[in-house]
Amino acid sequence: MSGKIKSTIELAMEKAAKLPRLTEEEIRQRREEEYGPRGRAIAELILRGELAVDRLDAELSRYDGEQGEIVQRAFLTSLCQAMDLEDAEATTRAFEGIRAVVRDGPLEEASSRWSGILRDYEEQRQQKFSMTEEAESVLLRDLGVSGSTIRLNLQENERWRRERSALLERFRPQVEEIKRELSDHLRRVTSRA
Amino acid sequence: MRLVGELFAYAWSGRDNNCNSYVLAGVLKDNRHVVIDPGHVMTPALKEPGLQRLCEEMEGDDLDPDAIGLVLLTHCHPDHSEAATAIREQTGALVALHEAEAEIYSHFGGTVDLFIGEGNLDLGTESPLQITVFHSPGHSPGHITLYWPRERVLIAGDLIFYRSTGRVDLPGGDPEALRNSIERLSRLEIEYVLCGHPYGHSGVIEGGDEVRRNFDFLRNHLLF
Repeated sequence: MSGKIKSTIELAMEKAAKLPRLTEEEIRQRREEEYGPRGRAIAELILRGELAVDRLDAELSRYDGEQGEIVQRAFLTSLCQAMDLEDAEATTRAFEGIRAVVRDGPLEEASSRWSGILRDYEEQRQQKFSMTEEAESVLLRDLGVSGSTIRLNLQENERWRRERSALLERFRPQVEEIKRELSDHLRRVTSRA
Repeated sequence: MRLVGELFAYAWSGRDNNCNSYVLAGVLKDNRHVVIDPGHVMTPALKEPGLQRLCEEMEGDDLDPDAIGLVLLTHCHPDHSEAATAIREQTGALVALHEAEAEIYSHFGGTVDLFIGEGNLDLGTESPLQITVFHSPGHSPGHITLYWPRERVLIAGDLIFYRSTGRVDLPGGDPEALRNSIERLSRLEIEYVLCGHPYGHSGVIEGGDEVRRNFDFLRNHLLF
């Protein structure tokens, strides 16, 4: 009964010492969980046009060392994932955002390949759109609805949804390939830096 | 109730707010009907069955509600448009609305198949029934009215009522636009003004003289 009476802090420290220590992997994962969302949030601002590209450097440079790497990687990955054949505006902003961090030959090659894919897609999309519009117009005339006042809203049209979805599916392998290659390239470049 | 030619009028007689509906019967392929402003499925305050009542009244006139092929909406407010979604799902009917109303309508869960603007609308394949559509903003930005020259019928939505006009205090309302829209329509030769609500009257203003008196009243007492 001669033991020293321990303070609350000492008791807490003893308890904490008995807790299992985090592994290197767990520490890395926690940092990813903390700083990854910050990079993704900056990417969102760029994609929505709410952050000018010339202010990007100031945003990203708020983080340095390992934290900065995580933020930058998450930022670039988000921009790659946002590239979308149906959203030219977001895709343009994604490339502008990437260019603000990395500017090299492979990026420009990817950008040029994307433009080619987009051109093919839009050409085929326009063809399909015209064909669907014509087919639906015939159905409408058959039903007995015509005149200068009426215009089809194909965005809500089931046939057009199917056609567009099938077209996007055909282009998906090319789109995924370019996104994957670009992501891999950016990861290599930024981890060397 | 058959009003004139292929046109049937279904005035709302419930206690809660709902609109009058109008039907151009059998004018489309396979005798399908055109419904203008089907109203609420169920009125919001008193839970009166708007769509069910409309269907029963149509059946009473030997019109099959499952044979509706087109729903024309004068504007997107739910007391005119809510039942369009149910009719679309039940019958495969197309829904037509002015483009300026489409976004708000989508917030109510509605889907627009056809945008309808100012111009000519032909309904039917052989000797189609010809309707003139007027963009008539004021009560709402994309409000339309339908004029049937053959019978001199104006389907006025919520623009004109008996001795009254549509309200302009809801989002998108515009008193100046309402005045211009009414003034423009007053120049047409009209025998029937079919209003979007009864409001202490049948909602059907009948006879050229009575229609003129109504326009005069609006001009003299409400609009200027």
